[in-house]
Amino acid sequence: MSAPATSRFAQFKLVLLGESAVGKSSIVHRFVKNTFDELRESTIGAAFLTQTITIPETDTTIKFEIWDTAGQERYKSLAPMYYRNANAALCVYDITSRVSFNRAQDWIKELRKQAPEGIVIALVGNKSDLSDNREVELSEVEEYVEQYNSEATGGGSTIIIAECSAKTGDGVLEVFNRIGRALPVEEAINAAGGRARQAGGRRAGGVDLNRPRAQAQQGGSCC
Amino acid sequence: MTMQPYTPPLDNGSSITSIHNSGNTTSNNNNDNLIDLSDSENTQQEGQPQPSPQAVPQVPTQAPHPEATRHASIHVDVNPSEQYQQSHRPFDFHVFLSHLRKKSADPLVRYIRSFLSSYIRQGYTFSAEQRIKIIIDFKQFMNDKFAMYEPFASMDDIDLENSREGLEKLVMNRLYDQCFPPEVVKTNPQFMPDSYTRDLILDKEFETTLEKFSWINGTHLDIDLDELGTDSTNFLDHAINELNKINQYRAPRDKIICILNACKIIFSFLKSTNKETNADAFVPLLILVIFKAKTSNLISNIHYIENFRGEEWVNRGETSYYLSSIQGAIGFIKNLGVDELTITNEEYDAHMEAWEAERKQREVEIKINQTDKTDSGGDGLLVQPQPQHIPSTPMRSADYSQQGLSPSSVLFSSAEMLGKSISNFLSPSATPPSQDQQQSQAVVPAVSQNMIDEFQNLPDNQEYQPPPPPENEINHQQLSEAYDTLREVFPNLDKNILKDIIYLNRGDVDVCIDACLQLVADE
Repeated sequence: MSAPATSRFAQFKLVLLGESAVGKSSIVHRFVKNTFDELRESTIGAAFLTQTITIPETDTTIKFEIWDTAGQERYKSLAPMYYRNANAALCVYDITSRVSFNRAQDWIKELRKQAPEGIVIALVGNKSDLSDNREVELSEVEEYVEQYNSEATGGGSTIIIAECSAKTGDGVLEVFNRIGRALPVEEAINAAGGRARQAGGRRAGGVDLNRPRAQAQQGGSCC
Repeated sequence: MTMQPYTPPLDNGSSITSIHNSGNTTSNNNNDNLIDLSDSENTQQEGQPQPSPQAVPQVPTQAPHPEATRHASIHVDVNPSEQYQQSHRPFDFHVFLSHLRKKSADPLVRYIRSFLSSYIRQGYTFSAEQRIKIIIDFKQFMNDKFAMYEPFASMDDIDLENSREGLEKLVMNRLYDQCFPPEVVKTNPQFMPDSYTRDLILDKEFETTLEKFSWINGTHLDIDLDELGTDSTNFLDHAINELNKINQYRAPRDKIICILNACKIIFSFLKSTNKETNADAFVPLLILVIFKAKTSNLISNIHYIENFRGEEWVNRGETSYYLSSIQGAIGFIKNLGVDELTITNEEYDAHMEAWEAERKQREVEIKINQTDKTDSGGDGLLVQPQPQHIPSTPMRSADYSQQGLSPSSVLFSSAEMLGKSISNFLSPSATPPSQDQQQSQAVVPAVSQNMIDEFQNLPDNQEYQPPPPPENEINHQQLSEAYDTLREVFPNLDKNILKDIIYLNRGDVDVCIDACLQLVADE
């Protein structure tokens, strides 16, 4: 039984970290509104949003659950509540603010210590449209990441680095595409299938309205 | 104070078969901007009675309806038809109940009744973990049974999810008194699991913290309420009201919807003032709402949601996000100090000194009160010592007087044990128990016997059954012969019930016939 197009589906939790003024939620709003899917209005509020992307080569649809966090320093103690069980973290800084870059580095340190193993981390500089006021050079970020990776013992995936502009939309979708490609899609699909069988045919994590039956069947029949 | 809109009619099995009008259906899938809780009230419809295994009427009857919030001057730009799309598709409790009413679903109703009545009788002896596990196991058991009986068997995923929602609500409405610490302390104070006592201590500590910081306002959290406009206090009140409704509902889903509604009001307010609607703006307001709401037993409520809300709904998605947010906000408040606030050290110290003075004054008052009472214990602040509760049924008082059982000596080791005891019931004749049964009786002799006795007193007494014993213990030849015999003798009994009975009794025809006779007699 060959699977129909886009029959592979995986869902991931992505947490947004970064200082208040870096525009991390603007990046997400841009991502959610700008892509091919129609805007999915969340039911409660815009701090939690979802968006799907398709990765054509592997015929996979990835649904991101995007969790915004409060960037104010005083609320940093709340962050662990948000990044537990996260599959990916988007650490955002403002390329015109060195302070915000330092703060993003702090988040990466904390994630490496406390976040789930294997979390995909992206270090993203926002406001690339303001490069005249740039304080953080991309080469500098590359250097930081290279050094960080060499120091980090015991695995952990490479940090993805990118720049984008929530204002113009430049580079935003690319960030999510790259994260999507770095995520353990196979693992997630297999795990979901296993859970579905265990739960008597229902899929864990709720039922996706877009693809209810096909998914459950696939989960049940593939192994 | 916690509102107590409901008092449980704890008479015996009789309430179990009563027929109740149990909800007002979907009549208000209206333009209400808030998530509909209408399915949890039972006040409106006088019309057709609904069959409901006794649990449904346990919901609060005078609970204010969320509709009230429509009077808020706040508008949300959410298309009502879309508002459920993510975490909360429309849930219709009445649809679930009407499915249960179908003749073909009778066996399911019996499973539920049987489970609930045994849990209500035995639940007070369970540890906190057992209370959770047994309910999870039962949900799983019922999920498997849904696949066997119409109309559930042919449902699509969405209707099945509605059924699982309905089941959770039905069960938790009824078992609230066993599972929600602030209720347990009222109904069975002598059987408080340690973690329930701990939850109540955490509740008190948190309420004390809120008192201590009752002077906090928006400016301390960098929220400019003036900038947010004249509606701001109005909006705060609405969000507070929604959050405080959490103590009026019994089902985990309803409780979490109170939280979501409070969050939704915060967002709609941010939207209406053209503020950014992100976590930067949301989190401080949520914290302020918690400070001002002073919700009783908030920690117990959150733990109850974590423990009893089905995993499929709580671990992912939007619900999970807002549950995490309130957990984070609670943690923030618990650890609050001068560094987290926008305030001068002088002002902060002045507030703290005032609080210290007030606290000392209260301690004096408490001491005075305590000396008035003769037998108040050391931790009077938390749980006022209750007079030894005389068990409500003769059966229970017999237990205590005859066996002098302590809670721990009657603990079931797991849900399996509960199942085994029930399967004992299913072989009520004096046949030699199998090895398994001997083991379970060795562990909990008194209770097993009592459960059998109690089950025999029930009008419907052969419902909840554990998964069948491992295949290798069963002689298939014997099973199929037993099945043929029973089909002849009891042509009117449901085939699947026959099969269950045969499995549970390992194909012992005589025992099975006894069990079936009991069934037929009941009918």
